[in-house]
Amino acid sequence: MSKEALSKAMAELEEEQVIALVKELLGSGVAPLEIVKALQEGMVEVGNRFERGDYFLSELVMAGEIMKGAMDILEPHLAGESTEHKGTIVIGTVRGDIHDLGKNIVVMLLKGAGYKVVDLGVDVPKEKFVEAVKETGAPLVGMSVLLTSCQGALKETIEALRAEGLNPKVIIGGNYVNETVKKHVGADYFATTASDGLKAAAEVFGA
Amino acid sequence: MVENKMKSFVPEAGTCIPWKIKKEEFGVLAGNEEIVKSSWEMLDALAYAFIWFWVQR
Amino acid sequence: MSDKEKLFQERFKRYTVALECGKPDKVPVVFPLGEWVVKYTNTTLQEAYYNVDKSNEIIGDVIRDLDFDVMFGAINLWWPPMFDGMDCKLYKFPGIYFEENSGFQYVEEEYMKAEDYDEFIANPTQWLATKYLPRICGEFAEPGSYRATVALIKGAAAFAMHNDKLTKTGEKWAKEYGIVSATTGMTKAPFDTLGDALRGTKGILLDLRRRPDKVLAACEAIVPHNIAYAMITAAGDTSLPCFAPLHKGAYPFLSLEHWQKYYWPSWKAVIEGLWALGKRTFFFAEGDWTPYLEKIAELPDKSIVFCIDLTDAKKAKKVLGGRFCLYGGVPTTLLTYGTPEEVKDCVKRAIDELGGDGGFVLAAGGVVMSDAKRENIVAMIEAAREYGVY
Repeated sequence: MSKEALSKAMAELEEEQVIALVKELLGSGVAPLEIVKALQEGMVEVGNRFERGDYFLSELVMAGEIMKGAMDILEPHLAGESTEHKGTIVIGTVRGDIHDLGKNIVVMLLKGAGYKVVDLGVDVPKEKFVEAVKETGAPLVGMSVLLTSCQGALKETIEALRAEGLNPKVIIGGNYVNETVKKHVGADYFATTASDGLKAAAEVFGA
Repeated sequence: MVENKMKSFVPEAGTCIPWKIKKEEFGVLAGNEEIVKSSWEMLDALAYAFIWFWVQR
Repeated sequence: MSDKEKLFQERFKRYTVALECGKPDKVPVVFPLGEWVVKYTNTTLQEAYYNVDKSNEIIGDVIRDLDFDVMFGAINLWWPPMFDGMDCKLYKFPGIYFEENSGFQYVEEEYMKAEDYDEFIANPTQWLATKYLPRICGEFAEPGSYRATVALIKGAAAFAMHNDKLTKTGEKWAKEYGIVSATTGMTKAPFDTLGDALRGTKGILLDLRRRPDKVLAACEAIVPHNIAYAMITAAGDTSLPCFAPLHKGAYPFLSLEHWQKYYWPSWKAVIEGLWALGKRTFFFAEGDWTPYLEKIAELPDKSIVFCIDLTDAKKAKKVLGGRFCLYGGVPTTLLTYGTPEEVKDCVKRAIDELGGDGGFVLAAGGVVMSDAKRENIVAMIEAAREYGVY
């Protein structure tokens, strides 16, 4: 059984097959990091299919669940091994909003694409964003929001970053964001789908 | 035990304890059945709406 | 008949003629009620949620001098004391969980587990009463206990009290201001009933692959309930459409194949079931429904009012126009970030593009929350009267 088969099974969302292959590859002595890489390749294909309109949110959620199952098996074997990554991205749902479906999907695809993602969770105060950017020096920050009534928090958070002299690029994401909202809150990019987020990351990191 | 006398049933949509079930338990009504029935059904519908309210958000 | 009653009749006719795809004297215009009205007062959002009389006062002050036909929305869709009394986990309101000027949030969990499907399908109402309520309410942790009994009495009393208040408020708006309510009653797509408050978004989306037959069987079991619930909550009214907030049928939750298989048949059955009773559905299509318009067009003529939020308006007009009333035209983000001038232009465009031959109601396409600006809403209503005379 090959790593290619694992990537393919991941892309095809064949849950049982993915789990079986992960166990098999581990058993046959393949390096855990190589297995993670194969899974990530599958995840990139999932993202591509979403971008092409072949996959929908339902498929992305399933992909996340399969990846989680696979990582549960792999994690004990990964202790101490450090993965290379393309760059660090800080992400969170802004203060007042607890929606995380969109954010989690973007996190999953960004990780799949090889970024290190610092996920601050939901209802994140601006201070936490500031702190995380200071700590990580992340060149890109993602702010997620669904409720239009919480869009004010985008502006406040971006202003808080700038006030601290922090100048990472900021991408805002959510169903009701657009060019107007982007300008109003002072963000650099906006995303209404997960693939918009990936494109912005590729631009920022030149990947 | 009171429970033993109660029949098990699946209430149809819009009802919790349909009148026809309760009427059997009441047996023969001495007065005007229609008045009892319509009031029973009105409150039963309210209970039904209350139970479903929590998932119809 | 008083002047206000005459006004009510006039507006009622304007709205219902449009719902029937006809051409009224003017394009009916809808006032989007929401938390934004509270922002312009000294009252906190918490107070407005808890105190219905207070929020009605605030609404009265805002609408008194405005000329619109229909009111849609609410400040307090849910009355927090009812949830507090049962320690219900479904929502967090300002007061206990959030500071006084925050909005409310829905807390999504898998309140129904995968292994509950069979029991739910066999007897949904009983399952909800005996299994679901104890799970979502802290006070029902021990059903039959003193605490649970007291909480149930409080919950039921609050439910009846609040419903009664809503009914009286509607009558007051009609009588004193001549305002028509956009909808009567409430229902949902069975897939949303199952996916929103029972299995949760993630739960139901995974179920489509792990136990698709259960999803189908549960949706089928829910169909008659969503018809009955609509008619009970509408108190039998069929003159106005039934509110149906739709969620997971929006693009891009489901592929067209999944949508056609899992979302649409049971939802279509509810709409057709209601239509057979003479009840129209207020198809509140939050988000983008563009890819599914052709399927929606299969419904019986006039059986729905289609609300345009992020759906492609021109395509909606092309596919549904003439056979179904269209509702919307003003994006919710414009009401927050736009200027009155921009809103006015948007209203003019919307009436030109969507309203030319009737069957159109001018409104905000989605839910208007606390972020909207009063001057923009006033501009929307005034522009509707300026440009909306047929």
